[in-house]
Amino acid sequence: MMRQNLKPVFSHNGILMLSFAGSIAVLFVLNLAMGSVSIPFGGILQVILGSAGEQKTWSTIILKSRLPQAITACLAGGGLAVGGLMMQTLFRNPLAGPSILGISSGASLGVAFIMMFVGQLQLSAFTGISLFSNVATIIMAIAGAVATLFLILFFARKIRDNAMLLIIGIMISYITSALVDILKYYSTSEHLHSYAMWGLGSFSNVAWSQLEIFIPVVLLGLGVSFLLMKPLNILLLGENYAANLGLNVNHTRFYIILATGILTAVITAFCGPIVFLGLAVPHITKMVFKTSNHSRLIPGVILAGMLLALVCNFIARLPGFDNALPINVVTSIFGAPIVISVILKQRRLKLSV
Amino acid sequence: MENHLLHTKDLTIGYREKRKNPKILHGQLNLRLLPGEFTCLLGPNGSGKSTLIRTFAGFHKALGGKIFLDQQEVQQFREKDLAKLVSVVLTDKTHVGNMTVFELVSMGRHPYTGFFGNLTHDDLKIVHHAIDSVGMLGMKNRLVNELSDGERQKAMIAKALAQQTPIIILDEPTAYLDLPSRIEIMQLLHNLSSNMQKAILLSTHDLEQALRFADKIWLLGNENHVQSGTPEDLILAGEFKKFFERKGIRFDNLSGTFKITNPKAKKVRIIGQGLEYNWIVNALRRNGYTEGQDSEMSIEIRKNGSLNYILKKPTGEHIEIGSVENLIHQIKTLE
Repeated sequence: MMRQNLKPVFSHNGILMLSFAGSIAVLFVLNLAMGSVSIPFGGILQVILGSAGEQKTWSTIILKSRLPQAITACLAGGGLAVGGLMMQTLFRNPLAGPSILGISSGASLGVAFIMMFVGQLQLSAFTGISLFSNVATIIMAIAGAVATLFLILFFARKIRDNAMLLIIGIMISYITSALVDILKYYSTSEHLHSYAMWGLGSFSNVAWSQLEIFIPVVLLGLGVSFLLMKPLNILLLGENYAANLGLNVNHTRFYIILATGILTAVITAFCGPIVFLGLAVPHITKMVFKTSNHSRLIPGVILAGMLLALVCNFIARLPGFDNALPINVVTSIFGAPIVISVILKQRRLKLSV
Repeated sequence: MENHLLHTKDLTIGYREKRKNPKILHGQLNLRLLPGEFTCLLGPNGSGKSTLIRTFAGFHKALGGKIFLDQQEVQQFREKDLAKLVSVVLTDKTHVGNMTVFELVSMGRHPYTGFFGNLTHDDLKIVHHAIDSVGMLGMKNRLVNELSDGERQKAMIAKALAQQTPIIILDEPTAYLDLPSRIEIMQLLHNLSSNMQKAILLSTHDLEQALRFADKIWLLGNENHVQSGTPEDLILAGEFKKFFERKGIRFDNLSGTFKITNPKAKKVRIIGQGLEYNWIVNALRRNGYTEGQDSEMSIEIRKNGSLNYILKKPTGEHIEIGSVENLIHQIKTLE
């Protein structure tokens, strides 16, 4: 009798999940097909099955550029979204996102350092080929992000109050962006420009060799988020109730921050600081799925994040824009109205953490 | 005396501040909770009620002494096992968003469920029963957001029941509630403790409901005063007077309520009895008068056909008045 009552809820969510997955598949293909060169569906199939012998250019475009880009968009969208969800639940704050603890600004500082400071020194032995290359940028971004993550985890062990920890995270963001500003102030316009371009975010800078790192790390972060399902649910009741239910709140907080930190660090390093997805996707998902249960929210948020990232990447590459629109511009300009419209449609539902 | 579920031995409660001596609120506390008993913890603000509750719940470290749960010292339990012994209901409103009552109550099963928190058929049955016990079966699919404060606290009590702990501790769960909800929750808790043989401890400021429903009362005063016993014994020993009386507020042992006293109040004699007598006294007290025999002024309650009050003024003049409002107005104009 109870099961009968639970069933329709489940199947409703099941249908939603399936339609999300279906939309992701469609958009994934669209992402492969659209761009400055249009490739028909049959051509994509041939390339993927490895039988596109006569269409060398199609195969190059898809395998070298569009496929890694679509995969990057998927993983980055899913990873940022689930990171945002975990931060919103941990801090019980609807304005929290994956970058709230200053981890992505730590990455920015690392990138600013290499682009503007080291660039300024004119260390001819290191500059030129390697220093401004993608790889060096990624390494510096990861270094900055991981350093900030360790700093935050250090404070997390010292400070029990979540609100205070949140404020410390925001303060760290302020410090790092001030340091970036100093670097900017002494930098040439050329270096400034390349830093600004990095700051606009992109899914297109990740090559296959880099995906070999990117994919497993993001999958690891996503996997850990699935393991945190039950603790996240208990945390919804507040820390005192959670502790009374046998949850070690401090350990849980540590793992939540670690998982979010790893996701944010690696995604920011490879794609630049992508601001919007991690904040907005959890809200959209909560409104669509009408639940606070993380066993449904975590898969839901990952799917929605993937979908929205693919939509944004698709828009950025529509003919006319010609790969010219940076991803942060698209996520905000096209994503924000989506969030507003969802809120207007579901006005009765209160914004729930 | 062997079967108490919780007892303390020389427990010292208070809090530590950084680089200062610990602030001790109470020392040498020797208290116990028995199965099937509903215990209310009363005391003025700042007496350490909340600290005691939080110490029992494990949110706060004791400064000294020992707490025993089921004859075993509390430190010897692992977090998970503690969660199967003591459940809590707190004052704080939880903002659980899009969660149904059923989902909220099933949170109580977490100490028993596996890594992903999946509920077995037995878990579902227990949750169902817990919701039934607080009479919310009809609302189990409602969102917690949409509940009234009283319903939300009942759902939290159901969560505590689903946790299946022999001890339930509640920290001012009725603080935000209106009077009918307060009475409902107190009655519910009293029934739960006797029907399910649970030891329930609740802190409250609501003295009247505590006197009505509690099997035991713990009185926590300032400066180390502690008393425990049945409400009746405590009243008959005059303990409530000691703990709660202050200037201008008198505890009436007969009714178990507080009365406002004013030594300078003018006396008015009341002739009559019953309901009207009580409420005229109430109105007089509120306006700074009191009832008394030796007075030049008197009010006679007359009930022949219609209800009338005859006010005899100090001058000897009589007036007939139809309502308490006018009566008080007339008395005031005499000044």
